[in-house]
Amino acid sequence: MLKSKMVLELVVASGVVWTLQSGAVAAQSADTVPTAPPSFALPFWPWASGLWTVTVGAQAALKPGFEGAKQYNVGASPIFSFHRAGSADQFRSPIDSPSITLLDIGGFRAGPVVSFVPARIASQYQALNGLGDVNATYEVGGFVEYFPVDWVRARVEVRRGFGGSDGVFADASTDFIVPLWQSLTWSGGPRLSLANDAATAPYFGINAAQSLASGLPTFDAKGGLHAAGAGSQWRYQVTPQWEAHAFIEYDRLLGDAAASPLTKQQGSANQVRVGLGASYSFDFRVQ
Amino acid sequence: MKQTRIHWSAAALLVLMSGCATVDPVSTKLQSAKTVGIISAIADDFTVTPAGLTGLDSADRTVSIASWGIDEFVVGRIGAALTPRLQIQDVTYQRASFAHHEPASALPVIDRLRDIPVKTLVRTEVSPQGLDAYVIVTKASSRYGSRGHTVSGLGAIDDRTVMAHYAAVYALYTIWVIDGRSYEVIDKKSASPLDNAEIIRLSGPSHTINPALLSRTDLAASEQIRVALSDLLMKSLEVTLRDLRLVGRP
Repeated sequence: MLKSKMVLELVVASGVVWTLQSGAVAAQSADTVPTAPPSFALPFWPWASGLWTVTVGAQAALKPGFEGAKQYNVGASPIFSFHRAGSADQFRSPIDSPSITLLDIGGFRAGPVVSFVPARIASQYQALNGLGDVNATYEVGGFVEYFPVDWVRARVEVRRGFGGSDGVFADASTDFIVPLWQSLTWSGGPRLSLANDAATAPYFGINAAQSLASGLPTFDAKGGLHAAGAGSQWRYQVTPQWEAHAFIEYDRLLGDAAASPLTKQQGSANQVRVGLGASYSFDFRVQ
Repeated sequence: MKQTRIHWSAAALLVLMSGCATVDPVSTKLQSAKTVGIISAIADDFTVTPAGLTGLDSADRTVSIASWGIDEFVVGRIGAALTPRLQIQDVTYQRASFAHHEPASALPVIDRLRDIPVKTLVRTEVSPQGLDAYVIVTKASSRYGSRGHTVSGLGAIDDRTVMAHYAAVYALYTIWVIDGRSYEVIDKKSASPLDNAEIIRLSGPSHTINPALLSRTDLAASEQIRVALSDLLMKSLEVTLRDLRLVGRP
């Protein structure tokens, strides 16, 4: 569950952007003349006419250097989305993999997901000395999610890895979505992660050669329950254009991920990820 | 590398848009047309959709508002905008057929692959035939709230948070321009939000109202909601007709 996600969001037309409106705007009277967004004419692309929103921003996150590490790194990533104005306000959790909804029945949705786990480079961390590198893993799979009401979402992702790990991962989460004001929303809930043998062994198993090189005892890592934890997210619409968000995700590694000598002797079963970001949205009208 | 490519593409798009900023203020789409029929089929029902911190039973509430005459109002506004450049002819049509022409599929991709039923309806449900073009206003839809609830046509969002209660009326519609002889779609455009400042954001026009207006049991008798909808439609039709280049910019 705790791994790098592709944060860049380029979602056209049906894209995802987190936008809530400032409470101050509620006072706008019916007679107020709205400020017209800048206009552009695209005579060759008539389908593009209408109001569009561009969101640009950045997010910084503090997270373990690798799964099971006790050293933390700070990373930054861009936020970018481009979509028809007002077309997306759907809830999205920081742990969601990039996905596309193909099936949509009432509050039930399903579709494919993709994800990416960067390579684990042994030379970058003393704790990995002698364990060798693990190549980057590309994951593809599917998700199902269900909203029984507007303020609860349950989601399951199942992904198959290719590359560094050829195993199967499954993440389950529930989020309670509580709008405090229209401009401020808190969400959070429990998380549970499972992984099979092939998904666990490359990161937590230690063979004889690795044992000899690292000084850690050999360990045959098996799959099963992988991690359990909780996450929380705040989103605040500072102005109609500016939005800020923060999140914290905590996972406690379980099973062989926690029992591995790598985690027990060189790392930690407690994994925390903290992020902070801001974005700016502006509209323009294409005529 | 991929992120860099996307940024360059976005920058190129914006530069291209800047370069085109002064081109073609008025459409030539109906230049050869003389007679036009106008159809509106968006105002049979008004739906109130609860959102935010709802109860466990958060079903929509729908009332009939056909008696408000909003479809006639829409036809009148469009006719006034197109006159005197075009000759507007009265047409008769089965409003219910146009009002329910496009049920949303559980598979969103299917909606994009469907043939366009409006073309067929113009041929089979409208009289007289043979006008140069038909301008048709049908319901559009949008997503709202955390779970992306689908709303369409005319209605209101009733959104509750822990500390406040918000409401907005919306008018989600698409304007089609159909060739009266080949029945091909000359153009179509869904109405955009009027600006980026509305507290409740939809992909079409909406306007904040007092939430107390939605609590009355006889919604269909609410003059304030009818006026709010008419006002919203009046403002957005002007913009949408401009987006379609059926009228010039002021």
